[in-house]
Amino acid sequence: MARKLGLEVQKLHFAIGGKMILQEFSLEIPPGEACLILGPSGSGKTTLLSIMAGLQRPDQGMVCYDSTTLYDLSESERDQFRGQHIGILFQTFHLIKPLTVRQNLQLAYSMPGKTSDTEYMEAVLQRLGLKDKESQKAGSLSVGEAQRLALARAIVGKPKWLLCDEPTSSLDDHNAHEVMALLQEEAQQAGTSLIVVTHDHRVRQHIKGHIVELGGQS
Amino acid sequence: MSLFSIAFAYLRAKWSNTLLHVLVMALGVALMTGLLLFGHQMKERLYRDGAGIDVVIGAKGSPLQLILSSIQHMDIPTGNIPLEEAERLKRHPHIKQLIPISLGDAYHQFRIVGSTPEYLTHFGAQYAQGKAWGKSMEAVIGARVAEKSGLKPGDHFVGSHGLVPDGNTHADHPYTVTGILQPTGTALDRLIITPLESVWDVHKEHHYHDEEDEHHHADAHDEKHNDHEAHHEDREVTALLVTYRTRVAALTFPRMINQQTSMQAASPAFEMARLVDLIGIGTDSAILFAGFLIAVALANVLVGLVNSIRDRRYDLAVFRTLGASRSKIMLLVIIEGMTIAVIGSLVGLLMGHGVIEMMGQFTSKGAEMGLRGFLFYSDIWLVWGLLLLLSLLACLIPAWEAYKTDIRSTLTHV
Repeated sequence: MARKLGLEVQKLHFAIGGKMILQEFSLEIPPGEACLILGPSGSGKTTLLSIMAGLQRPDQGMVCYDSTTLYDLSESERDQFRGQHIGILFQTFHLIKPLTVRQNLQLAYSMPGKTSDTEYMEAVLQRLGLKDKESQKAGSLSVGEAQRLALARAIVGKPKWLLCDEPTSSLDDHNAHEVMALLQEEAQQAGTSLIVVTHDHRVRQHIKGHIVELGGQS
Repeated sequence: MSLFSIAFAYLRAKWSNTLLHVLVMALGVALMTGLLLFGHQMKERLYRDGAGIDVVIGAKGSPLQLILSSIQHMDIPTGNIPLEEAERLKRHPHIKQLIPISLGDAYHQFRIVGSTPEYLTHFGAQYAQGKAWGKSMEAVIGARVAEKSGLKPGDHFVGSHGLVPDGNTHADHPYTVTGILQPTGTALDRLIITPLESVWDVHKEHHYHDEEDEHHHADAHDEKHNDHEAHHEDREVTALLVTYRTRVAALTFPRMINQQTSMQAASPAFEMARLVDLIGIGTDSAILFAGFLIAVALANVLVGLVNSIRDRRYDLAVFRTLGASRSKIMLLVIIEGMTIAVIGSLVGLLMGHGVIEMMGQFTSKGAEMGLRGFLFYSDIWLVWGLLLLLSLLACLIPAWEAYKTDIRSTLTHV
């Protein structure tokens, strides 16, 4: 049977210490479409994101990106695949503080061994208002700048899928709106499918696509 | 952005720790390098000075003192022996060459050695300037003497009595420099060589003035100066440098000298081996200490890296999410550790070589030994290679820690 293009998650099972976190979870996201996964704390959102990112092998089930079944790959192939095709935006940014803004962006190319696209990197720096901060150490940025840098690093390698973990959780309405608008805009520019995992219902209005609630799909 | 750039960025971010690790490593390596350089040059020097001399005959006393005074020109002589005895021994069938030397005076810190032209020939002396002496009170000077004293052919100088620079001068017996020798890397470089007759001429009217001077005269010429006048019949020399005709001579000749004459025979090879062995105990202990210091430096780097990896486990996990493989992360940690090891050991090598070079240039003892810093011996490279290998092994521990980093649990426990 020919596999569908896009992201396909089939019948995921995952338990920790006997506690079932994910059960029979399935999801399909066609290429280029966005998806919002909503759920309260402890509902397994982050676990799901880790599984989709190839960071956590599920007990059962399958994660396919286009024609690639993620967990059929060896660990190093999975690392390589993630670096090439998946961008991850963490809730706590996880910037590399001793490196400069530009160096943090360069990591998105050097870690998976991609050829760097300097022109695109310049454009991203420009669009996200980080051009004049490019030589500054990431540790010296304000929270807003750090968030933009984390976003820039996630999308500068033009990933096909961008997985975002709680991108608005600690922000007020105005900033949450700004971040989501930026995310959508950048995802669109890069031709990236945006997958947002959050408990924040304010995000709902920004995602035009699949909305999944953990514990029941809609 | 290469792994090297990332490693450097981390090292720069904690520059004080990095500097400390580099310094401790450098000190250990510098000490080890310095000791090896010193030990090698000391041994080479000791053996080179005695090359081609099978046995040294001199007044009874310490055989090591006899060798050090007549071959290395470092110690005071054991006394004098009658020239007559020397002339008799020259006809002995076991002896191929016998070179008499007479010591007792110095010019500044350089010893004046009375001998025959064979002395210069034996040590392969070549003239850089001027020519050989023609008569008594003419002298040729070693390369280092020329460099330090500024003497040149045609210049005159006056020796002082005794082997210390502040002895009484023989102002009425000036020497004339006839030649300057090319450097030989032996004791010859720091000697003033003159015919035996010069030494006898200088001392034939020399009187022993007072008791106060006695400590300056505690050398081979004390007996001579107790006589008020030296006569041909009681002319003396300090030592005889002997080369055997056959190797069999080594079995009987020294015993004959020691048992049947008032003199002693000492083997330079044997005494040098004994000396090297004695000094070796000290050198080995110091090398052991340097090794300990290097081990401390390695442990220091190891602990520093392990702590650093623990502090940075989130960063390493982020690298993995960005597509770095476990082996890439491991390599990053190894590069970081090895950067410290390579820089520290290179700084240490430079320091070790530099200190020995400075000792050779700026200290009288170093200059006397002809110490040179920028010489390279295979065991220094061996130590360096071994150190890098040990560093690599030490780095594998934090690298393994980094390799094991679980991305998911690390990133979800912020």
